[in-house]
Amino acid sequence: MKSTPSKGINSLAFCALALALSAAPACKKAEAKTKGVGDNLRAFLIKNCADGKRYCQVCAYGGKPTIMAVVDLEDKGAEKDLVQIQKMLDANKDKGLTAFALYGTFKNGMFSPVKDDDAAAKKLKSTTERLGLSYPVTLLPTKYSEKELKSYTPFVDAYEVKKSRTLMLADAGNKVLWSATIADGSAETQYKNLETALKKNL
Amino acid sequence: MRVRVLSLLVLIGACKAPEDAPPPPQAPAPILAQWKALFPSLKGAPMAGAPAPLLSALPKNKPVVVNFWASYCPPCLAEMPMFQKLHESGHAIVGVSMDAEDKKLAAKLLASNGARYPNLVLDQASMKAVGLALPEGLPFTAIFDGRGALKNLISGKLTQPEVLAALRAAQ
Repeated sequence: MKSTPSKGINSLAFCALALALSAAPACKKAEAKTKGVGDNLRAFLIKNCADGKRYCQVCAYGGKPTIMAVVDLEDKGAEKDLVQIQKMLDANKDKGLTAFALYGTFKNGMFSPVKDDDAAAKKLKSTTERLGLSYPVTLLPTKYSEKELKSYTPFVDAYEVKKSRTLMLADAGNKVLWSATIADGSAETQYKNLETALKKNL
Repeated sequence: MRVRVLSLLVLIGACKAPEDAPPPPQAPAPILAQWKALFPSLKGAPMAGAPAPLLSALPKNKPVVVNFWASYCPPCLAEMPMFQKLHESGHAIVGVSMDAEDKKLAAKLLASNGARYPNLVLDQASMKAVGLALPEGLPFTAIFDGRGALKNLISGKLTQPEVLAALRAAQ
């Protein structure tokens, strides 16, 4: 049977429609990244430096107010923040305050996994002991399995954190109430602001 | 001979029906006691409706599974189709959302995960109280017996055989 011009156009239209439909899921609007106050802490996988376990720390702290500290592995100044967080935890234990530190590396303003996470975990385990931290010190995983990616959005796709020493305080409903990037010059003021936010919301 | 018997045992183990899963470990007595005291104070509202005591929303005269979940918890969402299957097969399942601030999101996630079993959203005070009491975060599941007594508490993502085993152990 010969193909008529109208049939050709119909098949073309059909192909275009099929293509558009198959591309639709890819065009699905991506969930907005968590940047700070008003956003929610989103679930992501971490590797715990103490035991090497991979899990979602945000889920593990479900329903509890949480401080998350995002830190560059080479940023020694951040140790002050981690010690300060430990003091806040000790002072607010009865109110269920929890915390975790998330280590990685900043490349062009993007928080990424470190190259050798086993070596980094070893190093951070001794840092945790030296600083006397009782809360989890974690790392971004370097790789994800397909199964993991079905459940968890990698941190870099779920959060927009551009600098080391970014702290976020989220309430029991996981909403970020306070957020700041700590700078050496204003650290004390920022810690006080965090303490005020804790007093107001816990 | 010994090898043959061992192989046979391994084979029997592998062919065991999934329903024969061992029940999840019993929650430590102090935690169970803490939750026994906590449950009567918890309030939750159905997707459309006013808050009421959570215990009053539980079905009577049969074991009940109460599953605490939140929108930000992927393992919680992954459990929903399994709980829906159990609900369809006649088991009493009640979901309790920790999304007190975003009821609409909770409703949307229930719909997108095909969860049509009864669900409540905790109020702010109850959500905080539950958060304080959660031993290992979410998901978290409580098992009640047919007389309304709290029998077990389980942290982490569950499989269907594990839930069935926990229900059997609660009877």
